[in-house]
Amino acid sequence: MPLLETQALHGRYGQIEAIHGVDISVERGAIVALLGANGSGKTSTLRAITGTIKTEGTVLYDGVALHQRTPEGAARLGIAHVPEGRGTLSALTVWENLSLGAFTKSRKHMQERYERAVVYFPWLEERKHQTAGTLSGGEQQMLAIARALMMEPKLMLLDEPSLGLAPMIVRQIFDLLRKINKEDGVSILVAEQNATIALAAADHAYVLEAGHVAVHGPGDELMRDDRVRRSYLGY
Amino acid sequence: MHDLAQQIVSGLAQGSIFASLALALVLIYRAMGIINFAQGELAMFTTYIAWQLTQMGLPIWLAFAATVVVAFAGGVALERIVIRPVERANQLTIVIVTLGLFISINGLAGWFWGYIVKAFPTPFPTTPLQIGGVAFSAQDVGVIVVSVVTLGLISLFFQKTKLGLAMRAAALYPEQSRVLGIRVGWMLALGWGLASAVGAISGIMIAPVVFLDPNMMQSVLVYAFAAAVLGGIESPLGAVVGGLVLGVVINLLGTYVDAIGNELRLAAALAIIVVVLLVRPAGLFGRVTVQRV
Ligand SMILES: Nc1ncnc2c1ncn2[C@@H]1O[C@H](COP(=O)(O)OP(=O)(O)O)[C@@H](O)[C@H]1O
Ligand SMILES: [Mg+2]
Repeated sequence: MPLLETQALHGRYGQIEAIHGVDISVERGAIVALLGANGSGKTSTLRAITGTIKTEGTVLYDGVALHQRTPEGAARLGIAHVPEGRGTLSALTVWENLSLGAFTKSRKHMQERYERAVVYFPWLEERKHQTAGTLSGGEQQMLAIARALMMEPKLMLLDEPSLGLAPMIVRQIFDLLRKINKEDGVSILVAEQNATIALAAADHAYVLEAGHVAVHGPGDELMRDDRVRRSYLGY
Repeated sequence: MHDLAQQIVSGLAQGSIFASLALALVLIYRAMGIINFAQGELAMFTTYIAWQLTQMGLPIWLAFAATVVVAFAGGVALERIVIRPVERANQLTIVIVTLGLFISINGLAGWFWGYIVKAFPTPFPTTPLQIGGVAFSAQDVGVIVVSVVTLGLISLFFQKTKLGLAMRAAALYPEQSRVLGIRVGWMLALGWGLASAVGAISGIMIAPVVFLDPNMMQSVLVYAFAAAVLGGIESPLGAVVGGLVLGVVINLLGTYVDAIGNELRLAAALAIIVVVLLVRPAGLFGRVTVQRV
């Protein structure tokens, strides 16, 4: 049984439907990539899973259908959504950002989660009291991932973690995601336009086109797929 | 000199009442981006509840504590029942709802308790306090102490507790906060509860001076609004400093500038609003936030 499965998932903004029946699944312990051009529906798919937008269709999480999906409900079930633009609470300090990740946890538990996050991001310790809005883009992305870790998630949804970052930082971030996946057993669904880096990390990948799944398969297989290569890898 | 010291303390006492109500306005403004025009009427209504409790034989301090609790619960309930349905409407709609609340609460208080002015018992001793050879009104000193303690507790709550932090986050970043598991709707309701509790304290503090009647908080609301704008409508610290400054300035002007006297104090407060908005639209403590994208 997969950890997450969507069946005929639709998502809309008012009258405009952005995704039209998306079926994806994330196996336990897997890294799954959600690829596609700008506007293909990656963000909307993630938002539909957590109920940030209006949806129809089924989302099975841990084998249970999530009815009445809300973002706060999803968070409480262990789904950490790192939104597009990183969701930095920019006027608050690094520490405040992190502790809000563990909002639903006890103080003791929060401390344990913090110690875990610092294993991956040791620089957080000395920057604890800095205002989060003054961090660099890469640091803010790492803070967002660290904050997601504070939630002790079973599943992390990441929306374009590479956006606007230098290639070296992007590589660093994907290395950390792989480590978090392996060592903390967090399953990951990552939306990316940067197909090369995402496919290299992913066990399985879906390619979205205009709100539908166009192709899907194991990461290495898609990397060899002509259509995917031409449209998304550029060679 | 003695007279000046007395006038300053008296101004601080009035100012700390403005500060409390201004803080209530700021709490709602930060969460919703609107001025709650009913804030003063809520304070008035809860002050009547305190009066009713003393009429039923409760000692004033007990009535005070009970009223603060009732005001908190009432504020939460009001948000859940009246504001929640329009939470996502545009701000003008919400403002109009608060104006509706203003009129309803005022009418309700008149209907329950009538429009005849009532005396309100002071919780403080009536004999003056001698400090450094100067006699200060115990009422003034008491009001300052109660307000300072209240504002200090609220500041501690927001700075030191997880719930306070979550309320700040929910007010500033509702979407991002929801994704972290924070129930933003309830944080807003708690904000209304807190604002209404602080408002109740301001009402009970001023009632022994201005007496109890359904319109007692209307000019206080204007002063509180002036204080909030003076300090920066988004800044709780600004609201407090703005309230104290306004209280002292208005009191000194009213006492020492014959042309202003008692009658023109409100006009002076309004003039302060206008001048501050012209010179510093963000207010004394309003600040531009640093942000990198
Ligand atoms: N806030 C919004 N309001 C209306 N339409 C939107 C909104 N956000 C996205 N869309 C539309 O939904 C579709 C999918 O967009 P999105 O999910 O953001 O794609 P991606 O993340 O892959 O770039 C696009 O056609 C886009 O125009
Ligand atoms: Mg997107």
